[in-house]
Amino acid sequence: MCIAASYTLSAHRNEAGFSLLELVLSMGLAALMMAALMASLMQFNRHKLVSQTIVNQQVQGQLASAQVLQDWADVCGAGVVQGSATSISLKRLHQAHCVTYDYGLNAPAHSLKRKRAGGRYSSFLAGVETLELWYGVDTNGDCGINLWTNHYQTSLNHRLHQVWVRLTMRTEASRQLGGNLEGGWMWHDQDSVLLNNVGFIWRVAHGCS
Amino acid sequence: MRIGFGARPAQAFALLEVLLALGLSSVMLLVLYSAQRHSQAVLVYSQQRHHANQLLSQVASQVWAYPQHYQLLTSELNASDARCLAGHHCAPTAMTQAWATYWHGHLLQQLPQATLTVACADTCSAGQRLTIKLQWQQTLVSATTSCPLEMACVSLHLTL
Repeated sequence: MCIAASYTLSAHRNEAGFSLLELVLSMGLAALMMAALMASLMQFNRHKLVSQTIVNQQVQGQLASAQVLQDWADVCGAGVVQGSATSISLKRLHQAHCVTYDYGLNAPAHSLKRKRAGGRYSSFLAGVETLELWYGVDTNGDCGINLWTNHYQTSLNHRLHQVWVRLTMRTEASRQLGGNLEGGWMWHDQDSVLLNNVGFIWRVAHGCS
Repeated sequence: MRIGFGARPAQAFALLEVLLALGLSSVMLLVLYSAQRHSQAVLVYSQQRHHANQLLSQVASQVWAYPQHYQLLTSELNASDARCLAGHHCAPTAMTQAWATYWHGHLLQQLPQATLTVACADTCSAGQRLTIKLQWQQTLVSATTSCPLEMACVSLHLTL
């Protein structure tokens, strides 16, 4: 077996190489560059997570408002019959009949629920933490809202103009975002989800509008 | 002590080579950093537009609700107006100002140097066009005919 002598490491030969100082300096420089690169990559990773979460939140908010507004678009008869801060009953067309529908929050399932008169509740909109409803009512007959209340009962003296729906939506997000949140975000520790507020107004169609 | 590579001739990197390598690395890191900054700025702009659209939608709803007092929707009054949106009877004037205060306290806070205007093209009568315009500072945006440089604008046109 032959091993070439020219490939051995030797401290005795009179050959040029790196001095200890050069090695230390180059290692220090490499460490600095690696640190900068790592920081940059971590920042990029976080930025990617944040942007994905923001897009999810925006899409979820828009879908929620579109779904609710579309469901309430074909009201009939008396329209909104009654409402509280967390539930609302209204008349909607169903197979050419004016039927009462009840909507409310299903807190354990984190969703909005809906049922037709005489039926059972079914899930209507997923990923909802809280629901808050405010009713814009005209109590003096001048076709303008003069009261925003969270309890409404249909009557001759009270005419409902708008319903302000305020939802807190739950968005699945990486735990890496948990400790360092953007402004306005809330982190749900128990379920590891992000909470964000969505608000929209449903205009009730009638003679004044 | 020297660590060498056997038969290789004695040579190291020249100062010029080291400087070039360092310069190239710095430029690459700088490009990476700039790309990230720009990407973040685009993300912020996207969020701002989302908030702006939400705000415009709410303003439009209240323009329909208070056709005689919509000019007050752009004014800002004191925080006590918030009671009008929480179970108190209020006149249309107070109600529109309450909405203006609410928007200034919530949605407009998320847009730097934001201004909200509600104006009619000619006269504010039935059939005329009413424009709700929101503009805020945003360095990514270039000037257009309806919007100054570094200002983002979104508007909504309604027919009264």
